[in-house]
Parts: sequence; C-alpha cells; structure tokens
Amino acid sequence: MFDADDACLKCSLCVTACPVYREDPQFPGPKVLGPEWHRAALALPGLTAADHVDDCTFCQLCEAACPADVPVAHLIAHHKASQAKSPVVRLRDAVLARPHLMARAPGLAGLGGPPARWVGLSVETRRPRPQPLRWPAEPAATGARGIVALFVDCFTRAYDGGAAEAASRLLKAWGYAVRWVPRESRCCGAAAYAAGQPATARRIAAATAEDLGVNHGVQAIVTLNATCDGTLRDEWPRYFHQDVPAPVVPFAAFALAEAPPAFWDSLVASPSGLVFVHTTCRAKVSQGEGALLALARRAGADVVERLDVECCGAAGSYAFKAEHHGVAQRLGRRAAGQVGGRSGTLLVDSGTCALHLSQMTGLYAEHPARWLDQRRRGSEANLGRSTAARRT
Amino acid sequence: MVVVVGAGATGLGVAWDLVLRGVPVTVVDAGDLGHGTSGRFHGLLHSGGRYVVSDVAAARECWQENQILRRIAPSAVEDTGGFFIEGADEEGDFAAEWVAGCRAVGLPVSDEAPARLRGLVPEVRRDLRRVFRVPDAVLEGFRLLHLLRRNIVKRGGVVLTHTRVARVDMTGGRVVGVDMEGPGGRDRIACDVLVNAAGPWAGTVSQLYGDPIPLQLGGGLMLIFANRHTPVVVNRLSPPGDGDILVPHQSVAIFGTTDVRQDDPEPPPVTRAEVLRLMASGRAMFPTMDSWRVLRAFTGVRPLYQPADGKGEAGSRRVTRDFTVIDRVRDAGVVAVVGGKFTTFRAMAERTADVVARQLGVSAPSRTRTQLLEAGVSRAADSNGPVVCECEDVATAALAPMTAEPLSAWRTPTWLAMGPCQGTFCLHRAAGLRRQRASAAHVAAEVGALRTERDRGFTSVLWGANAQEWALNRAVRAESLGEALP
Amino acid sequence: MTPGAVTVVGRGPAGLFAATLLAAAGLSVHVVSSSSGTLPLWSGRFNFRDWDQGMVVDNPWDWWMEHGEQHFVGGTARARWRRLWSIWRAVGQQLGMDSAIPERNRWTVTPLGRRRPVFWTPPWELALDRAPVAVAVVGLEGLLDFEPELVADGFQGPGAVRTLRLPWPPDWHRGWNTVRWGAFLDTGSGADWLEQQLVRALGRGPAGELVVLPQVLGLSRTDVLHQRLERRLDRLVREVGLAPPGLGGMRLEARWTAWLLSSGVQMHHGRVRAIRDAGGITLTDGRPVGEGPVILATGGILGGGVCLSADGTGVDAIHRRLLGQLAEGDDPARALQWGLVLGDGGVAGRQTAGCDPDVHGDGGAVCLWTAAEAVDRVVPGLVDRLSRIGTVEVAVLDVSVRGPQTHKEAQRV
Ligand SMILES: Cc1cc2nc3c(=O)[nH]c(=O)nc-3n(C[C@H](O)[C@H](O)[C@H](O)COP(=O)(O)OP(=O)(O)OC[C@H]3O[C@@H](n4cnc5c(N)ncnc54)[C@H](O)[C@@H]3O)c2cc1C
Ligand SMILES: Cc1cc2nc3c(=O)[nH]c(=O)nc-3n(C[C@H](O)[C@H](O)[C@H](O)COP(=O)(O)OP(=O)(O)OC[C@H]3O[C@@H](n4cnc5c(N)ncnc54)[C@H](O)[C@@H]3O)c2cc1C
Ligand code: SF4
Ligand code: SF4
Repeated sequence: MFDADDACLKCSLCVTACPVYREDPQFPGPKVLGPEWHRAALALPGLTAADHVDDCTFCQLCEAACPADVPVAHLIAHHKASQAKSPVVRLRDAVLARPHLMARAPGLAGLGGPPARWVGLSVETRRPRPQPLRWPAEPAATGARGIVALFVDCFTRAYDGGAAEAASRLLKAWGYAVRWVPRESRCCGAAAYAAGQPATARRIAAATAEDLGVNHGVQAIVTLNATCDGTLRDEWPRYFHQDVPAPVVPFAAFALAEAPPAFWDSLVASPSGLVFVHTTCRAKVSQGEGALLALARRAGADVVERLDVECCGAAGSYAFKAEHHGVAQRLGRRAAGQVGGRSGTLLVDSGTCALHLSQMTGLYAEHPARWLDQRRRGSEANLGRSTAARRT
Repeated sequence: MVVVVGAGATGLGVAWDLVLRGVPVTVVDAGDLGHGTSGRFHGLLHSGGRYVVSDVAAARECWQENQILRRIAPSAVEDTGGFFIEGADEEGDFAAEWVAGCRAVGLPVSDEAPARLRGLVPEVRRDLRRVFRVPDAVLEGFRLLHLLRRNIVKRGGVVLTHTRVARVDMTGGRVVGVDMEGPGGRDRIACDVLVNAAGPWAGTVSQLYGDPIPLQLGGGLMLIFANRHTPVVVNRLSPPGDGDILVPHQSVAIFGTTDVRQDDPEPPPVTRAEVLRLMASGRAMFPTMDSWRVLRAFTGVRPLYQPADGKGEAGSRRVTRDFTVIDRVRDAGVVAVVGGKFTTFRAMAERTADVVARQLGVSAPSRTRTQLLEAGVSRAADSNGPVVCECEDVATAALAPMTAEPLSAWRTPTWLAMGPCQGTFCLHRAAGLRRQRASAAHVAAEVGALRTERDRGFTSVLWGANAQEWALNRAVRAESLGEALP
Repeated sequence: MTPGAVTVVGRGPAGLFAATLLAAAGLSVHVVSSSSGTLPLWSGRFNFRDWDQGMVVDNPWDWWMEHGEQHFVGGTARARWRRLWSIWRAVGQQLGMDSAIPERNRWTVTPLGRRRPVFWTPPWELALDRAPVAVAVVGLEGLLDFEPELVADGFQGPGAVRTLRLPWPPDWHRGWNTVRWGAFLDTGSGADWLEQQLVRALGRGPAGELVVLPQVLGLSRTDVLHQRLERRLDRLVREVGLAPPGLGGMRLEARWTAWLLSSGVQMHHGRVRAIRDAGGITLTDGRPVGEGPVILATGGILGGGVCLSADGTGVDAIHRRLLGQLAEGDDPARALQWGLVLGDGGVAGRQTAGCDPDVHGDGGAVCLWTAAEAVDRVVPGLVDRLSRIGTVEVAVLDVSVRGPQTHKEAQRV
C-alpha cells in the first residue's frame, strides 16, 4: 500500500522531531507506532492497536524528518484505524471526521456542558463561534493577471468568513479574478485521515474532487488553511489518488510571490504593534517555514517574533477531544511561556490553531489575509489622512 | 560415552534421541549452535510438495516428519500453510504431474482460486493459472536448536560449543577418545561411539578417523527482506529450480535459493551477481520485489552423499535429497549421517541412534516421535526491563541469563541484532550489560566480532535504504561509539 | 556579481553553516531539504581530525594547518582556519553555547569507554586536556545506553574513578530512551529529582572531582539545569554523548534553526529534483523553490545525496551523474567517499568527494571548511569580510593549539 514502508533505518530522527513524544511520557513515539508497529502487524495479523496511538496529532513532523522516506505518520494513521472504540466515541469521531457537514450547521460546535462531556468533547478547549461568509455575486470573468481559485475550506466557511473575503479583496487588488471553490461545504479529507479513518478520508476527498469546480484557465488554487493546503497538494495525489487541477499555493506564499512591489510599499505607513507568527506543523511539513515571517516583515510590521513551537496542540479537531486535552494544553503551554503575557497579534493560517493559541497565550489571533487586508485599508486611511493633512 | 560431532539439527537430534534412551552423550560443535547449515537454511518445514515429482521417498518422509514436528515442537513451528503457484507463462503441464505426485504421497492438497491467494499476498504476480494449498509451515530453526539443547541438557546430556574436534584416537582401529580444542584449551574425552553429524564438514571429520566420505557440496543463497510481505509460504509450481520459494519468518521474509557446486564446506561469500540473478527469478513471482528492502543475504551449504558411481552428475539438485547413514560402528565405532533436510532431522536422528543403541546393547526404542520438546519461559516474561534491541524487542530480562556468555551467543536465542538495524544501536547497550561480567578489552573484542559477522550479510546487498542503514551503522560505530572500523 | 539570494540544499550541519554565513552577510537565503540532517544524531561536538593513513593524529590542529591545503581547494589553511574558528566561536556565542577554543588538543570519552580527540564542544559536553584527578561516573538505572563501568574504563589514569548508578524515577517506563529522559529532566520535577539523587549518591567526594553523566540533561532547559547542578554539587558536571539520537545535536539544531529563521532564512521542505538555470531549484512535485545560485549540502549516502543501486553504481541524486561503481569484491566502504567536487560550484559537507569522517574523524571540521568554500564560490570573499554573526562580533582569534598528543598521552597515563 505504501512505498518505503520497510525502509526504516531506526535512526530515531522521527522521534527527535515529534512534539507529542516530548510532552507525553506515555506516548511511544513515531518509530514505534509507525514502522515498527506496521512491521509487527504484518507478522501478527489482528495485532491490537498500541495504547496511546490516538495521542498522535498527525502533524507529520516525524515524516518530514525521515531520511528514508518512510511514510511514518501515514502508517500511524492506518494503525489508528485498528483501534476498538465505544459506539459513542465512534459517533463523535465520525462527526468530527466530517467537519464540512458540521460547517453546514456551525452552531453545533458550541455544544457544551454534560452533552459535550458525554460524547467526549473537551469542555475546556475553546471552540469556534460561527462567522459565516458572504458568498460573492458573479465573479469577474478574468482579471488583468488571470484567474485564481480560492479554496474556501469548511472552517473558513463557517467560522472565519472574513478571512476569505479579505483574501478575495487582496487577490482582486493584485489583478486576479477570484473563483470561490467548492460551491458546497466540502472537506479535503484531512480530518478523517488524521483521526485514523483513511477509507472515509478517501471517500470525502473523492466527493470534494468531483465538486471542486476548478476549470481550465485557473492559474492556482489559493488556500487559506495550512492543513487543507498540504492535504490537497501532497496527500491527494499520493494517498487519495486524486488529481489536483491546478498548482495549490498557500495564501502567504502566493502573496509573497505575486503581490506587486507597489502593494508592499503602500503598507509601510501603518504601525503594527508586536506581531507573532506561528507556522503550523502541517505547513512546516508541506511547505517549510519562514514565509509568514517574511510576509509580516514585508508588510512592515514593527516587531516580529516567531513562535518557537513545533506544534501548538490544536491539530484540527484533536484538541476538541476530551482525552487529548492534557497533551494539547502541554503543547500550547510552550507558546504561552514564550509570549509570557505580552499582548500583540498572532498571525496563523489555521482556524483551529488560532483558536487554541489565542486561548493559551492571550494573543489576538488573526488570519494573515485578514491582517494584510486590514493593514492595506489602514494604510489607505492613513495615507488619506496624511494627504488630507498636507492639503490643509 | 557417545560423542556427537556437530550441534546442528542432526547432531542435536541424535543426542536427543539417545538421552531419551538413557545413553550418556556429549555433543561437540566448533562454533555456536547453528554454526553450520542449520543456522543458514531457508526455514521451511517442507510439506513434501517440492519433491513429489523429483523424489517421492523424500516427499513422503517430509510429510510424515512435518506432522511429527508440529506435535513435538509446537513452539518452533508456525503453521502458516503454503501455496504452489503456477504462472500463466509456465510451459508444459507440470501441474498435472505434480497433483498426481501429491496424491501418490498422500499429501493433502487443495485447488484454490488465485484470487484467494492474492487476498493474502497482494504482491504476488497477477497472471496465475493455478494455485494449490499445501500444509507447508515455517520452522524456526534457531528456536528448535535451542529447544533441543535445553531438553538434552535437562536430561543429563552435555553440549559443548566453540569446541572443535581436532583428533580422533583410533587406537586398535576403533575410536577410543576424542581430542578437542575449546575456550579452555585442549581437552580429551573417552569415547565408545563417535557420531559424525558435521554436515558439510562431515567429509573433513571423516578424515580424522580414516574413512573419507565422498560428499558433493552445493552453496545456496538466500535473501532476507526487512518486512514479512506474505503470511504464507509461496512456492513456484515448476520442477525445483533456483529462486522459487518465499518463506515468511517472524517479521521478515526469506527468498531463495540457488545451488552452486563448491569444494569448501564453509559457506561461500555472497556475490552481487548471484544476488541479482536471484532477484531476477524473484521478480517472476513477485513483480514488485525490486522495491522490497533487502536486509541481508546469506549462504548455506548442502552436503550430499555422493558415492563413486554417481559422480559426474550435473547439478547436485538432481541427486536424491534423502539422507544416508554410513554405519562403521561395528568395526570402527563410528557412524556418520549426511544429507537430508532440517525437516527430516528427527527421522535421520532416529535411524542413526538405532545404530548406536544396537552397538551399545541398549534395547530402549526411540521416543522422539512422541516426546514433547518442552519450551522454557515465554517470550512475554522475557520482555521485562529496559529494552536493549528495539527492532526485535529484546529486553534485559531475556538477556540476563546469558550475561556470562560472549555477546555472540546472545544473538540466536533472543534475536538480538537480527532486525532492520542489524545491531547498529543495540550492540552498545548489550556491551554495557556484558561489561558487568567481563573486562572492557573482552567486550571490545566481542563487539568487534559480532560487527564483523553482521557486516558479512550486509555488504553484498548495499542499495537503497539498506545502503543508508549501512552508512548509519558505520557512523554510529566510528563517530558516536569510537569503535575501530575494520 | 554578488547574488542577492542563495539557495542551500540540505539542513545538516554543512547546510546550516552555509546558510549562517550567507544570512549573517545579509543575503536572502532559502534552505531546502527533504528530511532532517544528521545533527540530531550527534552528541554535539565538532570532530576535528582523528586518523591519517592508519595513524592516530596526535595534534589535529597542526594536522589541519599542514594538510588542509592538500585536501581541499582554498587559501592558506592557517589563516583560513583562524577565520573559521573565529566565526564558529561567534556562532556558538550567538546560540548561547560559548566554548573557548582550547589551547591544547582535547579528548572525550565515548559510551563504549573509548577516547577520541575533539576540538569544539558545547559547554555541557565532556572534553579534557589532561586526566582528571577524580571522576564520578554516574549511570541511570534503565538507561542502558550508558553503563558507568564501561564509560569509566575511558578514564583510567592516576585519578580516582568511582561508578554510581541512580535508580529510575517514578514515571519511568521500559521504552524510555534518551529523548524521553531529556524531556523528563526539562520539567521541574525531573530536575528536582536528578538534583536530589545526585546529592544523595555523590556525598562529599574527593576535591576537584569531575561528575560525568550520560547526555540527558534536558532539551530546552539544559543550561539552567547544568548550571544548577554544578552549583549545588560544587563540582564540574559534564555529559558524555551517547549513541543516536543525540540530545547535544538536537539542542544545537533547535537553537540554530530558530536563530536562522528569526534572521529571515526561509526553510522549505521537499526533495530537490533539479537545479534551475534561472536560479533556485525544482522539487520532485514540480514546484520551483528558492532563487539564486545553489549550494548542495546533501550529505552522502545517509543524507540521500548519493544513491546506491543494486548493480553497485552510485549516482548523485540531483544531477543523476555517475559517481562510481562497486565491482565484485570491492570494499564497499569506498562508496562512502563518493561525492561531488568543489569545482562544480557550491558543494559542502559529506557530499564532498573524498571525505570520510567515519575513518578520519573530521565530520565537523569538514562541514565548516567546505561550507565556507562553497559560500566563497557563490559570493567571493564573503567569509573574509564577515564581521558579525547576528549580534555577536567576530573577534579574530589568535589560535595556535599546543599539542602534542593529548590523545595518546592520555592513553599512556
Ligand atoms: C540453502 C539451503 C536451504 C535449505 N533450506 C531448507 C529448508 O527450508 N527446510 C529444510 O528442511 N531444510 C533445508 N535445508 C537443509 C537443512 O538446512 C540441512 O539439511 C540441515 O540443516 C543440516 O543439519 P546438520 O545438523 O546435518 O548440519 P549442520 O547444521 O551443518 O551442522 C554441522 C555442525 O558440525 C560442526 N562441525 C563441523 N566440523 C566440526 C569439528 N571438527 N568439530 C566440531 N564441530 C564441527 C559445525 O560447526 C556445524 O555446526 C537447506 C539447506 C541449504 C543449504
Ligand atoms: C550518527 C552520527 C553521528 C555523528 N557524530 C558526529 C559528531 O559527534 N561530531 C562530528 O563532528 N560529526 C559527527 N557526524 C558527522 C558526519 O559524519 C557528517 O560529517 C555530517 O553528518 C555531514 O553533514 P552534512 O551537512 O554534510 O549532511 P547531512 O547531515 O547528511 O544532511 C544532508 C541534508 O541534505 C538533504 N538532502 C539530501 N538530498 C536532498 C534532495 N535531493 N533534496 C532536498 N534535500 C536533500 C537531507 O534531507 C539533509 O537535510 C556524525 C554522523 C552521524 C551519522
Ligand atoms: S521512520 Fe524514518 S526517521 Fe524514524 S527511525 Fe525510521 S528511518 Fe529514522
Ligand atoms: S504525526 Fe506528529 S504527533 Fe504523530 S507521531 Fe508524527 S510527529 Fe508525533
């Protein structure tokens, strides 16, 4: 099923990269849960799942560290699938694995108190508040610099509509016609895969692919969420056997590469205060790190600091599950320790990470597209004011 | 006193048979348990299916012993079952002949849908004409050898390893004593009957008592893959040839084998050309085999009794695999047993022990057919304490009883250093344990020896991930641990 | 013409050092890598030189002075090394790991109790230039990677050596490895536990006693714990690096990459398939990444820069160029020295042909030397012009290290 599933060198580089391994003394780590378990399971069919396999956040940092291309995290996702769970937990997991359906009834996320406890949701972890987006009217046929598709993921759609609107405004300002895709609330499959439901993930991804609505002439699919970004670009072709009709580019990278110099020059005017950036674990794996920091600096932020945290602990719906509360808190505490009560803005391109990190650090978390759009508008206003001042 | 030369399956089998009859026995081996072919074989508990056409007697014996071994050594047999597969491009109708052969031997064989096998072994070739199921199984050779030793010793027998039989005292034309070289220097034991069970070295040993045994030796190459790949034994259904069996073995799979004439009883070095040749025949059964990670390659030597009249035959595979007992006990006090298979070791041992017992006037019959070989502590209890070997999950509890022995003796009873890392990481932990009983200089020498042994299987299959593993192995040894490289 | 941006392939020590030089000079730097480099497998020390043609190198410093020019292309070795060590010391200071360049050659002890010469070590790692008066080698029950008896063998000399073993802590589990231990000792309760155990087990001990521990003193709070233990025990405390994974290398890597990122270096994850004429590289999935000239620090067979095939050939993984062929019966160790040559532009670290740190014991030195060479090839004169690393000024050291023979001398006593 996988290439290189037998290539493990036992070097433990994956273990050195795993954030959960350091925080959870019971967690056996990627080498044991991935290639070693897989090897044993081939020899002992029906082998029961290891304790604590579910504590893996599927950040894939282990896999990105592996010098032998072992699909460590993906082997763990399949390992998770062999766990026995109670019917209630199975139901909860089935719902959390389909965030696109949740997004069609965003209020559900607020489920609290005893019902939440009963289904195994963490009542302490902050959950998102609905903030649906205004779907745009008929988009322009084409822009001066072409057409891009904006992948509106289920979280953005239900809880952070403003980010999509902001990204759309910016892209238009840079000369692109913007198509919002997909029409319906759909999921890339990441949530199901991370929770150890690879077959479901594949089905969900197939339905999304069918519905994507990216046609010829679209130059790029711009994503707003780092996890969807990585899933579309890496996992679709490799693990879901789905073609992606255009290059997938995260918003920050697209901005850095395509926003005209004049745009950046126009931003310098407005003060930013202290800006933190967090590159999510999945972005580190599917892209790398440094783009957000570069974006903040390019946009003229006064003081930018990088959160020195591998994985914040949110990990999609991971932190919403009661049994993961402890690990999610411990992971998040590293960020809290670094911020140390200072106030400022945190740029992060994942809604659940934003939620978790703002709860842990007290920072005001913002999608980079929104932040950039605000700076643009702020600069325009400033500029307006200063020209007005000059006139008087 | 009976002295058995060789602690392979055959020698230990003879000793086991004799101690059960109350005969005092000492087994002497120049190396560790399984130093010879018994530690370098394919691991198949033959159903006999491979021989039903070429050697009916051998096939019948395999099937009979297969059933016996399952009963007396259940802890060393994994009942995987086996398949014979016929590809669509196979010429002639060997299958018909083969099915008839199975029937003649009484081997239970069932015709299966190819799809069923593909369900079990997704990587098997897709164009299969016919697929048959046979009662093949997997024989855990080392476990069986250790089982035999434990039971022999429990009943008063003696097993001396790292002790070579250097001279046989034939005063008056009969064996009266044996000179040995062991860790403690030279030693001599009195001997009434000498059993030559020295496998490929049987010819060499026979010269010590002046009755040279004509042997034809053939080296066979096997490849160990890092993962198991198949839950069942897969045989190619065609006249026995090179590279036609894949055997799952705990976490690995072993593919083999070849047969190359040689004169030296030592296992031949592995050549890259032969590895590639074997891989080519493997590809015919498993098209994706090139992408499987090879962990090691190793060779074993088959000794076949070849009396003068049969000489000059082409490949040794044509010769019967049945074994021969060369009985010189009445005139010289010596009996030799050569040939055969691991699967049939018990039958060979019984026939040999009969000869010895008759000579000694012991009337007790053989009991090995029914006597259970008792297993020691379970693997579960052994996994207590800090982990030493991560690949095969060997913990201190499993090694504790062995710390007084050299590191090389820790490997086969526990599987230490046998997994994908090939000892890279576990050996320094093992060295620490050993240091509690031996000097630093001793430990260094033992680590070096085990490294050399592991390197041998490594270096001829250096490509892909295995090459990376080897580079890592070198760096850990030289840079982290400061070991001297060869 | 000086490029404005450079792309470095590989994030092993060679790649990180190249990126450091470039970033410190104010260039825009992209680091692309398909996996972790080998740093987390190191104990943290930079090996200098151990062997030359089957002989122990008595004075690695002098060896480099005399032989550097022969082994690599470049200016005079003496001036070059002075410069490189000055820069490297500044890097260490910037990363909070100041360690003086020694006046005498030094050695360390491996977990198998062997001695080996070392040059630069982080502050927590054992490095001696003479036999200590007294040593307490302290093992941890359950951590088989460090058996005090074995390690103590490396200290035989006039000094008193005692071995101790601390019990395992309450939370201990049989699968704990060094990383787990390090994470445990990063916590407050872990640090308290170790301090209490050490105080109890060591007692007063002889004057000037050196305490030697396995390398488990935390990952992110090492300095705090290390200083606390030295204060409380009133003795020097040093770690012995273990077999991989190595906490020392992990600490170094974590600090180093964090600093590079904060300095504006962009890290990209992916496997490089080709180098683009227009600058930067192309990944296997077709994405173009980075800009400017490219430095390859792709790290030999283990790093993935050199691929060995079943037929015995070795190719460089990016250009698909044949580097060598193992014939039947060849010593396969030859393949470990295959690689690219400097003439091809920027190539650094273990990917450099002819380098075999396993045999020569010079991995760290080769990484520094070749990374500087590669950087100078894409930006001529950069290394000599560099005046600061981050906030730390490059103070030009007047290094001349006295031998002789700390290594052998130590072995004799
Ligand atoms: C490539 C290959 C694959 C095989 N696969 C299978 C299989 O899948 N299934 C199967 O049933 N059979 C298989 N066989 C056959 C089987 O392995 C052998 O028949 C069996 O192991 C022989 O055991 P033995 O005890 O006779 O010889 P050995 O195991 O060779 O034992 C002889 C011992 O004598 C010792 N010795 C030699 N000289 C001296 C001396 N002077 N002093 C002291 N000791 C000495 C040696 O150290 C050695 O340990 C295979 C054989 C080969 C070559
Ligand atoms: C276990 C171990 C312990 C060691 N201990 C020490 C020590 O204590 N002291 C010491 O001085 N030296 C030590 N070494 C040094 C070592 O021998 C080398 O000198 C050193 O690791 C080389 O580093 P490097 O930067 O050249 O390559 P590596 O560290 O191997 O890094 C190679 C990098 O290139 C990347 N890469 C390769 N191909 C591609 C591609 N196509 N696309 C993208 N990226 C690619 C890899 O992902 C990786 O990031 C140790 C080595 C090992 C393995
Ligand atoms: S999975 Fe990869 S990183 Fe982890 S131990 Fe194996 S080879 Fe190393
Ligand atoms: S995916 Fe992340 S949490 Fe899971 S084992 Fe890998 S590194 Fe650890």
